[in-house]
Amino acid sequence: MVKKAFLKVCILVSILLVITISLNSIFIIKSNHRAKLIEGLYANTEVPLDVVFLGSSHMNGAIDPNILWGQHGITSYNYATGGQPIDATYYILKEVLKVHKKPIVVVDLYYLGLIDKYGEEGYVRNALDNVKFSANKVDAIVNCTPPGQWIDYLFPIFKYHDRWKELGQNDFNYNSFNTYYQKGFDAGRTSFGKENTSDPSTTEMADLPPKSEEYLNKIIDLSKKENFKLIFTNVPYDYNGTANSKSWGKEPAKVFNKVAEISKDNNIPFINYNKKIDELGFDFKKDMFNLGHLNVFGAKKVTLNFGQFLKENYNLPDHRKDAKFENWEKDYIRYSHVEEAATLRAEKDIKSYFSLIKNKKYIVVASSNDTDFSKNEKTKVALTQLGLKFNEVNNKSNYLAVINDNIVQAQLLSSSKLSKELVIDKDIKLKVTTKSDDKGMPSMLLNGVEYLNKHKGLNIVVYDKSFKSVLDNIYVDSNNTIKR
Amino acid sequence: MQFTSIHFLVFFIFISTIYFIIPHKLRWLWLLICSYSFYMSANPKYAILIATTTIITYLSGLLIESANKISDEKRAIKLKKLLVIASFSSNLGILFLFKYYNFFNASQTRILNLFNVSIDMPSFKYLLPLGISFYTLQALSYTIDVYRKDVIAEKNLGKYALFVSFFPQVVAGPIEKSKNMLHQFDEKHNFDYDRIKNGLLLMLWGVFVKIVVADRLALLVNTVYSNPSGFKGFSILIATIFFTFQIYLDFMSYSNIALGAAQVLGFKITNNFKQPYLSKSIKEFWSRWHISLTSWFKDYLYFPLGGNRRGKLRTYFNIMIVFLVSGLWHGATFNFIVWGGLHGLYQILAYLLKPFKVKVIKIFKINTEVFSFKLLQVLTTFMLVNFAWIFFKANSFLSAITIIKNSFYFNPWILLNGSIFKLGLDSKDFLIAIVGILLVIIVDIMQRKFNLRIQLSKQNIIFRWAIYLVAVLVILVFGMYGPGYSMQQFIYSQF
Repeated sequence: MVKKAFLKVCILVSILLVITISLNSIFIIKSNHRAKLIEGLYANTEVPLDVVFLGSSHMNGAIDPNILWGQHGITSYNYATGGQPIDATYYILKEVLKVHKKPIVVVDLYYLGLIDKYGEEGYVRNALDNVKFSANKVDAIVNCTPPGQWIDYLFPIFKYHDRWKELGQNDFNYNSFNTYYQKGFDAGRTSFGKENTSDPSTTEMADLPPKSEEYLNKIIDLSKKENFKLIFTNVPYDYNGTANSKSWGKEPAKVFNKVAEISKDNNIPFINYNKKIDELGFDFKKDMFNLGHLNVFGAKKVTLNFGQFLKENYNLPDHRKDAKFENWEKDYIRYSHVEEAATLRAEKDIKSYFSLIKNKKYIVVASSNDTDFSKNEKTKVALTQLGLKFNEVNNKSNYLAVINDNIVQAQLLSSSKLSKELVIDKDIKLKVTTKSDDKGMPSMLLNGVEYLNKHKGLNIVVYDKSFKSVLDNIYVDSNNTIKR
Repeated sequence: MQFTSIHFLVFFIFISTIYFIIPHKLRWLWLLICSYSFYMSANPKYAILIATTTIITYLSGLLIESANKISDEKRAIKLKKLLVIASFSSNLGILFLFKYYNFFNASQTRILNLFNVSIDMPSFKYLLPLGISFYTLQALSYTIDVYRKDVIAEKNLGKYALFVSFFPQVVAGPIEKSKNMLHQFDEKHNFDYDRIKNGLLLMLWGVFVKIVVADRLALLVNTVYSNPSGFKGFSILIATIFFTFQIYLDFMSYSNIALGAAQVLGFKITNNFKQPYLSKSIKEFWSRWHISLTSWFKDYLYFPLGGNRRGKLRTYFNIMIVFLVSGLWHGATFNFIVWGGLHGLYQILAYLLKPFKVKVIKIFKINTEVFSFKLLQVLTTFMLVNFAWIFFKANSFLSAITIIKNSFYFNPWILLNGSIFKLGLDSKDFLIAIVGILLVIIVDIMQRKFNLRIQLSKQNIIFRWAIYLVAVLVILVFGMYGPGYSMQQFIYSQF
């Protein structure tokens, strides 16, 4: 009887475990970190990586694998996740090494400054919740989290079960593939606007926090054991950002000097970009997103520099012409396209904006009923950039234009209401008017959906034919300022 | 180590496995070690108190039994009574010191202040030891049972200590009488699949009821009752009805987990609840609510006072005494005394009004056998019990009065304009709470007709397993547990 009971219990518990494990993935928060780790660790493992990047949010927004591909044809992936402590980095590295043999491993060491025994739970979860169950995961949980939380890490549903109220379609049918083309990189586009308040130039040294030192050595030992090349970095940030944190060492500049010594002893390159600001041509006000993280412009500078370093010091083949890497090129094209779109959406200067929308991929629709065009030279000049012509515009405040393939499809000027209906490429139906029936505002219906009808002045809609969606939607006020 | 914690689950699986592996003669020792470990996991120091109570009552049993051998019967009875008094006064003395001293001290000071007399008495600053009200009554039952010769004195101190500290019961009962329990520690309990399965099912039901329903209700109840002057009308009505269910589900779940755990190990302990809110009178309610406590007071207080054999007036007096003591047993506050007093009063009034009720039924030719009449009785009883719980839950007597005053306000719109979902439970949690209550009511009604566990065991395996799995998954997803919640203590574990 005992045997039968034992068997029954085993079967029931197994069924329960299977259900619980599948529930785990529904309940775990679907963050960018989850997407990048699933894509980088489990979904796209067939193409070998030349270089892998690891670390915390500093690395997450510092090195852009697409730029490395575009410049040098190097395949790489950024595995860094926000707030990832160095102990978790060690286990993520082990997870990466399961699928990529002997890549060049680049670790950003910002998190060496953490003096707490364990990282903050939310941050540790960014990494560990998104690693599949394995002996390595259990090892990571045991070493990176307090014993009282082990069970919650093993079964994330214990932590997240109260999300039942907010579960959406994305939780049940989660698809992270759409993010793979970014290759794990993610940075903000705005500028911090403040100077660096810290001075990293000291030559003095200070000891590393014990656990950081332990895991730095573990990473070094692993590189020797597994025979992969290791590079350490420390990307630009304001050292004073952690000055008031109880969890952080007070002398990061001195700690990084110690790291430099350890790296030298182990023959590992350590690139401390905080000491290479001039070489990078780095402008802290413009190139930082906030005091701790680079923005896309800063990331570009660091990535270009790092790419050059890789090219000069390692024998990495250029894969751009290799048919095996066709998808990487496709991803790069998509990335470039998205970058263009993002740059467009961030642009505020009218002249620069009009030069950006002069693009064969876009349909541009302009409509205005407010400003007398004869009195607004700046706008007129800007619109002329697109190939539009302005003769005898006196007292004509109703204006309507459609441009496709950089060719003017329609341009109308009048002192009274204007309307135009157009079909482009068979399935794009446009209905443009300078005065809507209900509000008297410039209006544009695209396949029946209204995109304007909110503001007076010159309104512009940019439709991206390859994305099949409206990319940007602006209006220009009387001061020629772009508003969204 | 709370019954609904993952620690208890691991602890219980571990001790049960070892229990069935080791030889029978060592099992009591294993259970004793486990029971003390369980008890000491809350606060090791208080093991001294439970051990003291154990030794006093153990010795009282041995001495009472040896007094039986004295040939002079009068002397023997006198000595035995003295021993019972000694056991009661020492154990109740400890209980008084920890639970009631400060209350009586404060009350006395207040009364003396009225006469402008002030005495500065030192206050007692120790926390109430876990389960002291429960194990003290259980241990005292042994002294009387030996005195009444219902049991023979236990010679093995270890087994007796296990009777007092048996881990399923030690924190919040059921309060077992020695005549029901002691002999079970000598019996051999084999591994019986069906018994173990039934025990585990009972535990599962207990965990479900506690962390899916009772703890959810607690959120709304605590919001309203912690700020009595801030709420009116339907807010109070709903909070009070929710508390009526919360306390039932909370305590019923504890008792079921205790019962189930004991059953897994082969022990039969008293069922504390038999669908109390389906009772048709307060008297019936007390035969279905906290049965082990009612039974203890009946055996060891109501009957010794004379029960109902000394005339009507004395019966009413005895009822009142029992319920006032019962109220006081729950806690050293005026509110618990009022709560007990109300239940005493309800029953006395029921006796007094009985002739009037009979007359009304006769005059109006009311059919008392139909469903509508029975439903009316159940609802009336429920509302009386519901009203009394206000005193039980409120922080003070004044809070209770405020709550009662504020409840007389007609604001049905709060049920429609969404305000009701701002009392600690949003609309989704509220829905789960209501579904949970309905499920418990349905199960209670079904339990009246047949034994649900037996009915379930007759079903096909797929259905049975689906029920088990759904229950566990509902607990996993909808349970109020984990890092986002502070675990709600069982209400009765605080008495």
